[in-house]
Amino acid sequence: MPQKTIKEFSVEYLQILDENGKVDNKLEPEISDDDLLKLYHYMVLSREADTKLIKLQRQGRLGTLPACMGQEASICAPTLAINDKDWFVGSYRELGGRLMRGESLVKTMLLYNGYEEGSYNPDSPRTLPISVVLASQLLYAVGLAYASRQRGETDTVVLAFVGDGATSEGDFHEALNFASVWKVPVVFINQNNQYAISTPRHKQMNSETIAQKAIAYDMPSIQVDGNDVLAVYKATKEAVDRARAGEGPSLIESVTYRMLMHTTADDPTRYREDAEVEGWAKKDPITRFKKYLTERKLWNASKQKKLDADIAAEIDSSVKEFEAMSDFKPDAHFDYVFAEESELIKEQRAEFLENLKGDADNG
Amino acid sequence: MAKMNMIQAINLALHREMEGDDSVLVMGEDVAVNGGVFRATEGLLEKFGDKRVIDTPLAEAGIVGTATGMAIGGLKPVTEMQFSGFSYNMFHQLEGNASRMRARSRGQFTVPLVIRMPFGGGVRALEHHSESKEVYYAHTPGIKVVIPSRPANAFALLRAAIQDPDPVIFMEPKRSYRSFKGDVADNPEPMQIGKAEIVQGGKDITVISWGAMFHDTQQVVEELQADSDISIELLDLLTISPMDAVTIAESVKKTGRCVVVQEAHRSFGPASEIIAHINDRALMYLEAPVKRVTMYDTTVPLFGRELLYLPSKGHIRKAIQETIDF
Amino acid sequence: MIVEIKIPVIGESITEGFIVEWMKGDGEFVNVDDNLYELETDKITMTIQSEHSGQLKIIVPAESEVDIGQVVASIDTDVQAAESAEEKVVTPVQNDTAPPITPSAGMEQVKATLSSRDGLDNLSPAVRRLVVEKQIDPTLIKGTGKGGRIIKDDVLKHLENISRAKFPAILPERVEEMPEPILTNKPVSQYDISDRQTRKPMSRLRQRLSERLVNAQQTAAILTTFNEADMSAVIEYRKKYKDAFLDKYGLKLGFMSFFVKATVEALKRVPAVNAQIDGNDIVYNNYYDIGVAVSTDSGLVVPVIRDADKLSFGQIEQAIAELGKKARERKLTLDDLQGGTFTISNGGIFGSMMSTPILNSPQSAILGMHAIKNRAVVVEPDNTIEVRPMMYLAVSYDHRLIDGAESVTFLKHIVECLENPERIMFEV
Repeated sequence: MPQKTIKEFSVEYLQILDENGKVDNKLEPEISDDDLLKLYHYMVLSREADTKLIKLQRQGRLGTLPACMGQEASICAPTLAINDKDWFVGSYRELGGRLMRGESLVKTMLLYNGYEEGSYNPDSPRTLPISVVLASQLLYAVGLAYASRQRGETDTVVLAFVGDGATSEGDFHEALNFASVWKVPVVFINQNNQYAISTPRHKQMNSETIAQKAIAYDMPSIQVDGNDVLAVYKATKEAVDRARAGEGPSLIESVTYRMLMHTTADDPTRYREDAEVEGWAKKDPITRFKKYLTERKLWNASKQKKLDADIAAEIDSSVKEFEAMSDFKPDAHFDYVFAEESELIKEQRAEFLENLKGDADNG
Repeated sequence: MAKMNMIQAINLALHREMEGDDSVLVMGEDVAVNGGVFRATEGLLEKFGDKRVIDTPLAEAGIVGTATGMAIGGLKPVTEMQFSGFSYNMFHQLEGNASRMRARSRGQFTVPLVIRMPFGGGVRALEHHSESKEVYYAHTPGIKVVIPSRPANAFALLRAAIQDPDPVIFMEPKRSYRSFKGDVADNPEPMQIGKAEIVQGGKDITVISWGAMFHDTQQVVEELQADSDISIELLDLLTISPMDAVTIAESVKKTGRCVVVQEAHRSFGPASEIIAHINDRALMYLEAPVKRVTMYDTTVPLFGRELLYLPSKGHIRKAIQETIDF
Repeated sequence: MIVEIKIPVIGESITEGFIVEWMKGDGEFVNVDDNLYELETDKITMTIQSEHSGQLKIIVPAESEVDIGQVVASIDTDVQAAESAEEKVVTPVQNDTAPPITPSAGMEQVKATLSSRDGLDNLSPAVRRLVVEKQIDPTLIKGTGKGGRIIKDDVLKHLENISRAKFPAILPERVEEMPEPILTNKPVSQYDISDRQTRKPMSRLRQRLSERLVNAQQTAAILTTFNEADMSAVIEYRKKYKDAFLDKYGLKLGFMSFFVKATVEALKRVPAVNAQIDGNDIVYNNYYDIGVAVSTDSGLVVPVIRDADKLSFGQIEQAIAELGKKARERKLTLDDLQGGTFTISNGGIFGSMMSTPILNSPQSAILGMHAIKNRAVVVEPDNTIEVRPMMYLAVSYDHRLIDGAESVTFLKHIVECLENPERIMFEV
């Protein structure tokens, strides 16, 4: 009876741009200057918007919303690696990516002000709305990939995001398994931001990496420095290219850090030390990227000044536009139960409108 | 016109829909090579190939979750849950995504998905193979729940379900799969989801049932009518949700009496909902309280005592008689 | 506090009653819902319960006539149960109190009764809805359901009976469809005489007729006044215009047109005869729809000639001919039978000399015609004895509404018009 090693596994790690903004030229991906600047623009916009949204929430002008600060590279770089015909399947912490996909900040605010209209984005027809049930989105991402192939779209790719805590969900494993068995073009981006609300990664899993979870499904995977925009882009681009070529799915573990609260309803000081947060602040993805761009002569202080001014103006006008919105059709939710209104919904809508009248009468 | 059993009717409906629409595909555990454990999908693989007839990994959430994506992506997946008792593993996918996508995205993304599942008892099966939990699904806004009772309506309603733009749970009473045959026309009239069928008009009492129980109920009705001059209006509910409250209420307004027969557990079952609709719409026409004949609020026992627990013809007869005599 | 006990409003048509007995003694303590007294009215005898608890003071003793609304007793609600030595029953809690059941008391009271939990709470919702909608007193309905419960069918049958009673007659053509009534009363005799009797179920029409006639006899104060008419003039006119009339209308000029016209003239003169009682009101009919009793195989029917005052002799004869034909062919409709204001019946066809017709309620009077016989009469002004074709006439009337003088004046005017038909022409 032989006993021998029949298969051995390893997990790769990639960092191109280190914490000090020093680049490894051998690994540097090919990105056009325009794309680099576009990426930078959206990362800064994401951060500024994030800051503004939280302020608005604190002022009572928006409802609960998730914070993205610190994860801009991990979110925006993968998005740069796909095109408009590809599908973007987010979880709920991908603000920069959604803005890159053509969703407006006004829509984001609408959503977080409690209106589904914020998730209706006909200008971005292949970007799915946020998914709150963790990891559940990965399965429909796999289905979308299957459908695109079945419908003859030979080069469509699906980019799907999932957090570190959500890898404990069955749906994560089912999605990886289905994708692997069907060999469909999905790239899974794992935002390993260290915490599932308060639960740290080490309580979530005993695995040293998340990337290694793909090994069980015989799926290519890699762990990257998630605050290194070049590494995240490069790994994603390679995975997207494999997927387009019909070589099936990949998993990318993007190691990053949620600098702020899980959502505006969360207080992170309850579960983590300031020192830890300060440590990660030194690894900030935008600072690093700005250094890189400056060294490549693509960026300078006056450009930064202009960008800051432009973004401030954009955010300002978006807030104004959002706050000017009114007259939301109260019974709109009855429009979207079924394609065709059932008798019961018809009656309930009438009752709703009648109650509304009563509410108005009562004053 | 052909005589066939319900499995054959379901199989024929799948063939027809797959022939008529390239976007229709069938997926589930053992549905392709094996043709399904009940043979509902037999012959499809040979005809439509493995891209449209898919043996999936054994994971219900995986099946329904990926099918949801396929549906968003322009396909019309018809998934099979091998038994309804295993369907709860996909419940979060149905509740969390498929049922909500239309509302969540303001109609930008929709999920024309069918989930077929055999359900119900009386076939001497193992644990988890005998329950009738249609209300789990019916309680969820945004999905439709359909239960056929005969080969003809199984054929027509499954086709309607596949053509429906919204998620449909198609629950198949497995006790009725092969227990009898019925006529299925070559090109029958399409049936509409959401409509109960008045199988027989009457004036003294309305009796409502669906699925496998409908047969037992129909037999009791026939016996009672042969033995007495009670005139019974018999309704086959067919769609659990959205419920055809109007037809139910109109019938009860006419008869003033009603008995609901369900295989489901008593508490919070469809009968409760039917009675609530009668309460809302026809209370002042009632001559007697509405009675329900149901499974008890216990799990369905293994088949050693299963039949003692499921509603019987005797129970149905007694309920009708008591309601008439009230 | 002293609370008055009044005779309750029982129904539109009931204005008075009779206290049969007090079920509580004067000065006795009564609880809410205790039976107080038994009240008898024209329609029903019922027990009235107390709405209050306290000490009873009887004002009107038993075996007294009372009016609706009359105060018959009072209750001192300040008196507690303990003060009354013989009364040990604890007063029921407020939630259990209910207004007394006062049958036939109209919509409001029926509703109030239904909303209470007292006595009637075994009515099904369907029955409750019907009795409220149709304003029926459920205690008047006989229940055929389990344990005597009232079922919807019982209400519907009750309604049918009420509506039948309201109509003057049953459609003859429906008689055949009516189910045969079930015989319940076997002959009570120590001898077996069954072979010497023939028993036939009464037709529905006859059943209704008998009910209505008895009802008229029981509710109205019927009196009959008689007179006689010399028919010479009428016979003379008939002879004279017989052929011309036949040519013009295709009909024989009969006696009925004279009687109808004469009646209309007399009704105009004495409006009370054309009136009817409705509850506490008298309704004067300012139109003249004259019913003409017609005998058919299955019984008497009374089709109505509409607006007889506006019709000519010819039109009246035509109307009578048409209605008679329809009656014989059983083609009369409800419309032909409903709503007359006065009726003429003709017993003379069968040779009757004299009769007292019964009112066709809710009408207040009826004219009876009889056979014309040549009799020796004293003729003024010379007091000669002559042979004249004479007819006795009778008017039965409801004395509640019509005074003797009015009825006599009415009948006398008819006689005048018959003896001098030109009075009809000149309306004098």
